[in-house]
Amino acid sequence: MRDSLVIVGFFIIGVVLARFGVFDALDVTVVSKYTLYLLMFSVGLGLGLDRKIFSTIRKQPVRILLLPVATTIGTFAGAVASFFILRGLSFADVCALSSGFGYYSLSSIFLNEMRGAEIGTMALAANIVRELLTLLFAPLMVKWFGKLAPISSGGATTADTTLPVIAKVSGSEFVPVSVFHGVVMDISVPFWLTVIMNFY
Amino acid sequence: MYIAIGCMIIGVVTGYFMRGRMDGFPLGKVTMAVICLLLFILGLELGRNDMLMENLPVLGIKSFVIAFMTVLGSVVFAWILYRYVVQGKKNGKEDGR
Repeated sequence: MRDSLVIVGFFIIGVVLARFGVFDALDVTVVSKYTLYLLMFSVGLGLGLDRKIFSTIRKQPVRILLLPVATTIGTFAGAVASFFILRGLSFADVCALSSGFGYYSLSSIFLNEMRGAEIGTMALAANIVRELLTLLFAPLMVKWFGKLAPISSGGATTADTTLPVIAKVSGSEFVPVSVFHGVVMDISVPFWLTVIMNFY
Repeated sequence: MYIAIGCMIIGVVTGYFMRGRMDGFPLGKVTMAVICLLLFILGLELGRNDMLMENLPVLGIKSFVIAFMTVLGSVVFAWILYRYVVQGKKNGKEDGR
């Protein structure tokens, strides 16, 4: 939660400085491209260094492995609904915005590169709100939709930022499921974005 | 896009072979710093674009709709999985005894 606030803080500082005309001469697209590669490398490095991830995945019952599938289907069902509610957004854009699964840093940076600042900004907002909704309404989700619901809602964030809340509301026995789900969803974000980019 | 995914795969492989040799390295902090830098840049791009700044409330509402609908879809499918696969199987086992 604190990290999220710091990240949003940097975003807001960027907006404010730009309004005052600071860094006007800087070509940010080149900088952001190479920084993105660095981010992807460090995310991969973290996965590779972690000894526990693969043993955690192996210990899970097979049926639980379906949870990322449920999250993916549910998210794209929500994307279809959003497409019909909203106007002025292409179906591919709505799917791309949804396929961040709450992973706002990666998704906003990717979409900023591929689709421009408008979709990039929306990706940031939509995915931060997804994380916030999960943090705020996790207890209600468990009550109404069962113990897997906050994990599914948390999407790609369930291995880190939303994990403490999930452990609290669903019980600590759901921590391995949550970590497994978060890692699978994390990896699936660049995969889905690549697939969706082929539909433009 | 493919280059970015390639960078992640190189990272996984590097991490796998560097296990135990990077114990003091503050990877979490480095990743966090990179994310902050990227979001700062995204903020700059938004801030220097007058058209985007004028449309910010509309973009915010649209983003909220997408977030809400994707969360709703996810919890519904998680509920179906919980009900028919996880609990259903458990009940089935008990019936068989």
